[in-house]
Amino acid sequence: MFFCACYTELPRQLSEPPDYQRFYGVECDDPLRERFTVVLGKRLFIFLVLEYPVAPEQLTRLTQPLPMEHATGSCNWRANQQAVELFFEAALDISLPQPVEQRLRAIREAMSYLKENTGASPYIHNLYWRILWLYEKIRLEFDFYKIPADTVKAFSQLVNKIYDPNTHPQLALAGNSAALHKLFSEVGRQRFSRVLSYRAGQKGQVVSLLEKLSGDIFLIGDDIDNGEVINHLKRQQHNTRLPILIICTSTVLQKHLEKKNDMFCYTLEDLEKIVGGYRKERENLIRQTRLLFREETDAFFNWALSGKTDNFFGIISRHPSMYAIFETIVRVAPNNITVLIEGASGTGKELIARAIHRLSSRKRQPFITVNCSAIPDNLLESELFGHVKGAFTGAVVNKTGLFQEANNGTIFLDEIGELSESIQVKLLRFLQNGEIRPVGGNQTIHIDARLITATNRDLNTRVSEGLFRSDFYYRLNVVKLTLPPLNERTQDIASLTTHFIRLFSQKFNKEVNGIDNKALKILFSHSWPGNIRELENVIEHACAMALGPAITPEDLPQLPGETGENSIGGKTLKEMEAEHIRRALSRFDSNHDAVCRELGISRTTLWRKLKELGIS
Amino acid sequence: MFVLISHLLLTLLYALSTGMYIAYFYNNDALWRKRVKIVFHASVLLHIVYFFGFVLKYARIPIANSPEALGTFVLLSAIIYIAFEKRVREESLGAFLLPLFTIIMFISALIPHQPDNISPTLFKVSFEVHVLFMLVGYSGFTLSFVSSTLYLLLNHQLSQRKAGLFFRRLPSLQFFERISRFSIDGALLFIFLGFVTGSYFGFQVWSIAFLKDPKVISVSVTWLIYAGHFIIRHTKSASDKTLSILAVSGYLFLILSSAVSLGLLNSLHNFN
Repeated sequence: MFFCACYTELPRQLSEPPDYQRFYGVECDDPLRERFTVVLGKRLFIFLVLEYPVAPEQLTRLTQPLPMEHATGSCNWRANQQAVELFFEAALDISLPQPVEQRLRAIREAMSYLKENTGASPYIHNLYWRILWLYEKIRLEFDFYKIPADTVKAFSQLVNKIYDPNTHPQLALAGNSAALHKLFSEVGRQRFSRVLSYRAGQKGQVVSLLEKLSGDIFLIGDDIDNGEVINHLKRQQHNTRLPILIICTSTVLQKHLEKKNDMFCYTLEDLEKIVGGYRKERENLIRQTRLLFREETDAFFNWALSGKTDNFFGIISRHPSMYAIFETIVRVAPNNITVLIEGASGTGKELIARAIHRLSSRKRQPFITVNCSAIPDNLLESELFGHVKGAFTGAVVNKTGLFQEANNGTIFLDEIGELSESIQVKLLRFLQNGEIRPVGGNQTIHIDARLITATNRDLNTRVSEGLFRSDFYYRLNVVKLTLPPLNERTQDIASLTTHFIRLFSQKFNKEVNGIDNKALKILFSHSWPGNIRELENVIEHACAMALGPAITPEDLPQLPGETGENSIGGKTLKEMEAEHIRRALSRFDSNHDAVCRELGISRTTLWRKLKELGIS
Repeated sequence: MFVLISHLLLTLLYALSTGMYIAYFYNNDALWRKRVKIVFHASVLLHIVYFFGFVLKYARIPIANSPEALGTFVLLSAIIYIAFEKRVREESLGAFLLPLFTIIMFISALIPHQPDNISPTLFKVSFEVHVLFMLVGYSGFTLSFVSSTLYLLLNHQLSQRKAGLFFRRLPSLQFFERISRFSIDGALLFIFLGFVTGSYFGFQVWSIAFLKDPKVISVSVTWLIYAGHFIIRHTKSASDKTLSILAVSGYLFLILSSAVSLGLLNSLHNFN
């Protein structure tokens, strides 16, 4: 695969957002496989995935269906590694004038057009997820995005240097200065407890309104009477112990106010100076983040060259609903958020939990899985939290719980819906305070572990039925991922089948490398009540039975869907039962143990049934 | 020898922590943040081990003379600072507080003293409680001194309109004002309790004469300065900048007057 990107100035004609719909409306011609475009501020970014490399002139031809083809004429195309790095830089680099958050919003919007209008675009989606993940990582690990890149952020910073971030000062805005109004509107109302904004009309009128203001921060335009403002602000100083911050456009006002007063009077040029003051730190951080971009580019190429383009941390899918889940995963994984995974049995809940763990900063720490329904209730508490010697009969030594083992890592609790109320209370305490207490112990232990839970039940219903604590449910349900069953994403059956064939042909040391169309059709027609786990077992069976390089319908086991309504054909229950047992006997070569396991009955029951139904 | 070696070793560890805090303040690297905490916490842990080792060896708390009291003061201040840092999640103060700890530990190591040759009067519980109250009070004043100094530094950079190092790395003026306020309020209470327990002990040992002791006068004046700070703050008759200047002045007075009373004048508090 070959990647190209161009990041160019938008021509004047394209001051309006481009018509993305038209862009994706044209079919992809060879060698174009995927395409993406987004307007970031005053620049246009185009990313192309090609089957093979082509000359730059041809690239321009490929983008001609774009409504902005005239923009690409001057484009300096970058290829492969450089193209991918350019994508990361266009989205996340702080040295660009447009704020990162705005760029990410624009990319998200452009991605929604891509999803609506084209089929699966695994390469571009993968890059998009990497961008989102990098953003979270950089945001958490560096102060990168806190560094002011413009006067608006510098003003915000200035306010934070006087007031704590959780204190909301009062702001008064007086005058007609467009720059000050813009400054205020971009910092946002939510930072201030009270905002008083007055446009300048007659000078006296504004000043008489100013008289009523008791602000901590003032934005004063130069169309306000300086003398009155100075007197007013000096009087204001008696109402506050912290210095008053004034942003003005007049240096005259600045000189008068700072003279012997505990006030900071900044002009817009001073705010620019603050931005400049961060130059060194910014350059250093830009260098560090570019290294990250490079590392991520290498990781992307490793993934792309592996040929497993449907593989997201072991989860195989190209389905839009799964893509939405992957997007959520990359956003929440770096943040220490509790995640609840809902989905039918066999949909891959544990794989999702593992992906979250691997994408978090805890990836080198333990990942502990607990199946809550597999452990009896009276043992579960001791398993999870440990116990002290003598806590109960048989507790002869102190035992460390799984939570302690998962310290600094992640603990995944599967089948959480089966938990008893007493354990729900204990887990609730862990979620609130990060503390656990071993059974029989009187000391609490602080645990730093991320909790991921999963269930195949509808917890909301269980809460309304009174079977699950509502407070615990709300604590768990910070981020909920609902996995679709396999029959809702049948387009993934082919790629999952290929994946499992590769896996089992290696396991059985066989040269099975595909599946014929008839067999695949059978797989597509099945309803897959057991989801991916069922498909995995079917392919394992087929690989074991296969006699050639491709799986044929004969290699497949009898799928329950094939004995549908038509095949009942007026048979009685006894006849159906007899047929089912006969099939099982022939499948397992009359191995009674295996047949009992398959049918879920005991040996005695099997003997009785064989006698009753006259099966020899 | 045990005390000298321990104090020198602890000085080295505090010096290392100081260097790391300063480096972290300068480069603001997350990795440094982890490292500096490990080193500082390990230093304090060793200091605690030394403290209990001393208690076991000499059957008393190390507060009976200036070097011992200085060492214990550093330990108490460091523990208070760790608790503070954990609560407010702000590490920038460490770069300014730890140099003080290092200097004080170094001075304590330099002053010669004999831990075995201690007056039996100083084994009284009332004396030990008095000294511990006073040391916690001084720790409060120290924290207030550092936060007020940082308030003034940040205030200066803000008025200069420069995005200098202090501007970039320090939290808000309001934060320093709050820390200074809380530490002064706490210190005033502990020093008051120290006065009460000290008076009880002083009357028993020296009768009324202890009130004329230069060290008692020095601390009383300091307490009055900070009480003035408390009153001004509550009557809102001065800005935070003025209050910060007052807090810094109060602490400088405490240091100078203590040095003069213990070093030059014949103070009853000089137990060396």
